[in-house]
Amino acid sequence: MKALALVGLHPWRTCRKSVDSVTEFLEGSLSPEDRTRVLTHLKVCPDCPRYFRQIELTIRLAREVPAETLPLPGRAALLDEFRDSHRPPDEEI
Amino acid sequence: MVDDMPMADDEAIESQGQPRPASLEDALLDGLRRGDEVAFESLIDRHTPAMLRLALFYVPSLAIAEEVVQETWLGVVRGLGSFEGRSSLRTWIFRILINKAKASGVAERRTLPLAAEGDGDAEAPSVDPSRFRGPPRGYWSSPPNYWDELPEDRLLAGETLAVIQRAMESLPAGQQAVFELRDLQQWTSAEVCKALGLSEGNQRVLLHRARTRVRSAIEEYFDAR
Repeated sequence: MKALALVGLHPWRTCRKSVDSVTEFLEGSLSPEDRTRVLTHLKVCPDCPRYFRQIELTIRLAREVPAETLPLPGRAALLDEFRDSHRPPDEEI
Repeated sequence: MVDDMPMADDEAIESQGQPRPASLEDALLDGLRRGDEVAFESLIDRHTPAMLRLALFYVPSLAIAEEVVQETWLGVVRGLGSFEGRSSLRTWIFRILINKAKASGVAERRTLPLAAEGDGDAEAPSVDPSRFRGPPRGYWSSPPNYWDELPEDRLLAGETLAVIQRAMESLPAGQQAVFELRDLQQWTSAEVCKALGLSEGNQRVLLHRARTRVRSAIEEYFDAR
């Protein structure tokens, strides 16, 4: 069991643990030892690499969600304010 | 989305040595300074949705969030002359927004639940434990389905994006704000921690939970098909 733990195959450093640390892994905030464990697990696991890819794909797809064009109340007043702020001083009189 | 250039400037960014690219934001800034209304409108359209989401993290209702965003844009118009470009235009705008939102008087009430939101369920697993075999093996018994192999046009279909949007909108405010700033606006974690007053670890937990929930929503959607 100890030898398995060293190479990252300890049962509880398996899928559940890897999945829980996906963000830390992608952020680069895992300790070098834990990072190695995750990488080792990803090499032997048939499913977790897919999960990791899906997290990255989720982020990519979320960026494609069109920003809703919402009518900000007061938008016209904002544009007036902008126009006024650029009016040459002599026009204001 | 055009917004994929790295965020420029600010101490946090400079320490990472990212150069500030000539960008659309620079072009918009030039336009604003010349009094180009189209540039101003385009800036409003570009940032208002994210600003509302972020404002909602501090204030309790959409109506108040809208007021905060309006005030922010007024602040932008009035402050433009004194904006020195030491931070990026976007960073500057969002900083005004956060200050206004906090100043709206309800910040105190919202800040606490936010921090707690990360701590409270930090130990909760990312994925339903029933999807894994028990000890000693701990492998998936119900592995992720293969939605990531679907053709691009399925993934980017309006219906899929609507599912993602709904999932994002149903996240708790803290997760929503962090996901918005980190994954959509592509701020660095240092910037987000500073802007929202979160610890690095807390920010990461919120981000992790947000990503996990949005991924699950996509999986459930394609499972049901």
